[in-house]
Amino acid sequence: MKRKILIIIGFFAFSYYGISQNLIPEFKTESIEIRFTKYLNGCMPDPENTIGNEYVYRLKGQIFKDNDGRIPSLQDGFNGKTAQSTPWETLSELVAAYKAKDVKKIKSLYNKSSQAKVSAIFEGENAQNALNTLSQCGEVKILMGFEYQNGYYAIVETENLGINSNYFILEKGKYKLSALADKNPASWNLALYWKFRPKEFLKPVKISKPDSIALNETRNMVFRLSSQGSWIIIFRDKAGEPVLSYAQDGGYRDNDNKWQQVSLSFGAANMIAKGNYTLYAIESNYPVQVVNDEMKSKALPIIIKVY
Amino acid sequence: MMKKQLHLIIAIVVFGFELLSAQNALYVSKQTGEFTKQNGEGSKTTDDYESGTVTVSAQGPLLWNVNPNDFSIGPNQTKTWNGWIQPDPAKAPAPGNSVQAILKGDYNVTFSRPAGGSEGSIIGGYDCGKCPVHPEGGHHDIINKIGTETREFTIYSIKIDIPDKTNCILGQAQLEAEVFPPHGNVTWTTPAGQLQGNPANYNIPAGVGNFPISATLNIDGVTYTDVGSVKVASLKTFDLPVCANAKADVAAIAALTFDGTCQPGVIFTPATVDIPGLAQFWTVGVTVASNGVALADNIIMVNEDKLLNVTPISINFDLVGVIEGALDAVFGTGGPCTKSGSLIPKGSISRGTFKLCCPAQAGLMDGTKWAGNLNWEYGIKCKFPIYGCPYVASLDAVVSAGVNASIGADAATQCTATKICGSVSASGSIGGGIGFTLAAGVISGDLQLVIKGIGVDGSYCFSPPPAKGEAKITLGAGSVVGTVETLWGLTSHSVDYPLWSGYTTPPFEF
Repeated sequence: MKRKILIIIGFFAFSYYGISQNLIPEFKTESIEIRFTKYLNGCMPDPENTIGNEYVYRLKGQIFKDNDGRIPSLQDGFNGKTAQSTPWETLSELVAAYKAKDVKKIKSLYNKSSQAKVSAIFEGENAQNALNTLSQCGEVKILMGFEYQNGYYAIVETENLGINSNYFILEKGKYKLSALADKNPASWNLALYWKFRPKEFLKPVKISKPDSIALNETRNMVFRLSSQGSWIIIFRDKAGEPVLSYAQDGGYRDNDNKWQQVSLSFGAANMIAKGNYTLYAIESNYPVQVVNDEMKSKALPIIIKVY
Repeated sequence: MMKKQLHLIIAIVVFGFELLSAQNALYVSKQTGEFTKQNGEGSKTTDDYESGTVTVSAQGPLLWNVNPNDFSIGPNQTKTWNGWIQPDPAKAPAPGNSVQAILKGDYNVTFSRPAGGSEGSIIGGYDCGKCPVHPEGGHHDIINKIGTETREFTIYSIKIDIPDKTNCILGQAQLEAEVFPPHGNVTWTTPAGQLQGNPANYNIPAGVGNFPISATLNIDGVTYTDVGSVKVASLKTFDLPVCANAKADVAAIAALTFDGTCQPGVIFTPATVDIPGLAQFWTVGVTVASNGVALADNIIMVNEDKLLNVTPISINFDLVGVIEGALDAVFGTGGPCTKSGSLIPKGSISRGTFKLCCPAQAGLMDGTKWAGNLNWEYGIKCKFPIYGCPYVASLDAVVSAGVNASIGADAATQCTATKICGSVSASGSIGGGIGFTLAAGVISGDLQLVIKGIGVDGSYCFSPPPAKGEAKITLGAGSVVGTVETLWGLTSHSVDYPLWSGYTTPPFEF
């Protein structure tokens, strides 16, 4: 009877562990490629991975689609324990530890050389703030992971804290989290890619714009966009120069409340001097702050007189 | 010298040993009958084989004589000749002309020479034994040569001619005669005595009217004299410039006309004119007196440094407003800005009126002068969003710029319209920081907004009206540099990315 009970307990325990393991994203190492425009805001020059006007990163790693990279939570039945045999198992334990504010567990997930820093964070005077913040990170999704600098780099998106990254070192068959002081542009640029997820520029539809405007005057330009939440960018045809103005549908500097329509205030003072100008407008799914060579070909010309 | 030449001529003509072809000049005065005469002498000793005869003749107005009048010589003889040659005054050309003359010798000579040579005809020969030319013995030819030798002379009939009109400048006559040939010594005889040279200056005594004058040309003692008179002109008009802007000698600025080419001396009263010390201008009356003629004119003397109606001018140089516009243009949005400094500058530029002397225009004109310096100190601090950090939606960059700008002026209008501008100079600094800590430190950054300088290039033009300035601002390339940390530093990233490659505003007016 006693043996039977043990078998039953063992069965349930095994099943529970197995269920937890099945919730954790599968870890694969494949050849992957990510390419995107090099003109993305904040990208650092990376000549080794530049082809034409694009950054092309060919890596050994894994890219997740949609919710495939979702980290299981305790509510999903994940018990917070794994063999730490993949970065995703270790990451799943970390998220669970964050939510449980389990400092001992968090520390155990970091490698030895990172312990001093980890202790300073989670056992120092701001430890409670840190734990409170991390425990409210919400749902965590892995966007991609790749072999990086003798370790493994993961870019994740958290429900409440946005894009973040984690770095792993394989020690004695287990993936341990590690501190990283990174000077390589690749991880930064890839994180920017996931922040903006850039799509091709589109030509907006002009609804209204002033034909002429006084130098000290501000008037609205109204455009229809193809996608909700997109940005309208106004610029002169001078690559490398800052754009003149921009606004986001339903967000930054949008003066009307209709979706897929942006009313943008345009101050002629930005033109500095009187004259006839040809400006350009494009629709973008991310904010663009500097004019690049790719923009004009997709742009809508806007002729305006400043008097 | 002349004796030697004649000697040589005779020797050459007789024996043809040597040839000279230099020209000789002979002078004669048809006015006085004076002429130059050349004398000469020469000797010849012949050897066993030398002999000859010469027939001498002349072409042109030449007179000559040789003594003895026997132009033949036999072997082993020694003969000496004396002679002279001169122009023939009666046959000489009219004064002021020259003619060529030739002394000619037709000769027939015999002499010996070592065998060989092409000159003359061989008429015999002999073995010289051991002569100096042939120490081992040799043959000499006996040569007969017939020919003509000539000697050319130029005979000048000298002349001097005083022109009808003599130029005088304010009482100094410039005496200059035409002479032939164009050399020799000229002596002028004036009422005040003799002067040497051609030309020669003669100071006409005050009050002297027309006066006689003579000039004598002397070449090698041959003279020719001409007489004439100098007609002293009368002062007819006296004009001064309408104005002047500096002290001047009246003689240097006066315009005088006379009824002839010989201007007598003049006396100006006053001799100099000066600008006023206190007034902007004054009018000075000037008289000129010359040989009993007195004329008068006026000149306006202008002190162009004397300013009136001096008033400060204001310039609305809203540079900070333009910097704000430039930053807005750079960051693509109208970020909230705080400004410091004032549109009211330190210092002053004054505008004053003065009188301008413009002789080529209306004379006295009204001018405007600007002088001084205006200085503005601006400061501006603006906040703009930055999107280039992957871990946050956007960051606030705080940009601070300070510019010290000035406009200097030291210029005045001129007689003709010119553009008068003062330069705009400026020095500035610009930079910014992007410090942030989000989510209790999960994400933090220490980033600098690095902008490579701010420059202002412009000018302010006071004239022609309306006064206005034009400038443009250049912001150097911008970049974000620093460190971004996640998880309180567990992961840190060195950041250095470009924001823009530089921006220059279009020119703006102020």
